[in-house]
Amino acid sequence: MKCRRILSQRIVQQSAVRVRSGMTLLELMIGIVVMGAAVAAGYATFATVVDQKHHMEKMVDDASRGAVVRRLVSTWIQSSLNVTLIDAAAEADPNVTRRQYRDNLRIITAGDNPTGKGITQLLLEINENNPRFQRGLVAKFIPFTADQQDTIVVVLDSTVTGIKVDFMRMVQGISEWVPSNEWVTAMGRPVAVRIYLIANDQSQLTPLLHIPITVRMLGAM
Amino acid sequence: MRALDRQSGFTLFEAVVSLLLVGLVAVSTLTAVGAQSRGEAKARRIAEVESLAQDRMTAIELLNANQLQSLPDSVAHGQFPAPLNAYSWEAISTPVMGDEYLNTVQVRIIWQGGSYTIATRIYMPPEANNSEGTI
Repeated sequence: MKCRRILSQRIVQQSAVRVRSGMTLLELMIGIVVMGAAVAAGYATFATVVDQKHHMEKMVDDASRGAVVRRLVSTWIQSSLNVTLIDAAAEADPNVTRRQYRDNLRIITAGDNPTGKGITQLLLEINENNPRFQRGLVAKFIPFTADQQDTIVVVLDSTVTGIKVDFMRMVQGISEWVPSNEWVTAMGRPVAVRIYLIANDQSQLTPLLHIPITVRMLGAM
Repeated sequence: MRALDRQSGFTLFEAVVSLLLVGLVAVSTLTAVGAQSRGEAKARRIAEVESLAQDRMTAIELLNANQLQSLPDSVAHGQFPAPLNAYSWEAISTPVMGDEYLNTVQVRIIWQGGSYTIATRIYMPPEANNSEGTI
């Protein structure tokens, strides 16, 4: 009888052990709190990293865009046969503010261009009115063909709202920068061109476009 | 006793291994994101300093022969205006031995923690340009 009693007690103890498997409420609560704290900290860190990444990507885009615009404009002008000014009413008119400079340039370039047609007329200007294209600094490539459909427009920077151009000329061996409103075609081919790009809100302008684009004309010196 | 062997729940070893795995994945992810950010920062830096160095080199190419021998202060060194005022530049022009009209020109863009240098040679005989203008 004694043996039977002991055996039955062990069976009851084993059953009790089997029933105890799993977590208590306290363990569950602690687990949830610890996991919650870890997830919150991890999410905050992750959100910060993602924000920084987006900010950095924008800065890289801005720098790349600025560098490309500078390089393209330099290449087109450097390989040009002629650079002429279409419109330079800015400084002559006292009512025109700095941001409203509109020194549109006509460049006859032999450089690489999207038309793929060799010597091409390039208009570097500010687009305001044509709803087909994004506003801002645009380059219009117009090949010397009868078909105007071949015209290609490239938006260089949508934040630019004004262009101011200075030309360098040589007078009796002395070089000087001439502002666009004083420049006349009779002065000949410029030695160099300096282009200031202006925005309504200068802080919106890509940093690299704050520095004027200075281009020395090939074969000019 | 069989019931004791089959009890559910993690052992300490299993918990430590799973935590290690989660930690490894998290560290690897953050390391990759950090490396990508550093790469982007470097790409941005290269795009900026390359353009700035080319701008300064163009300014030197517009000098005359006399100015090329002794660079004017405004060309030899300076700081870029805002928002690029984290960068400054130094330019050096040295005549090449054996050819008095040939100069080695170096432009160095400097920022906190680094610099970037480009160099070229400019041939400028006095008769090619004897201007005295300012750049």
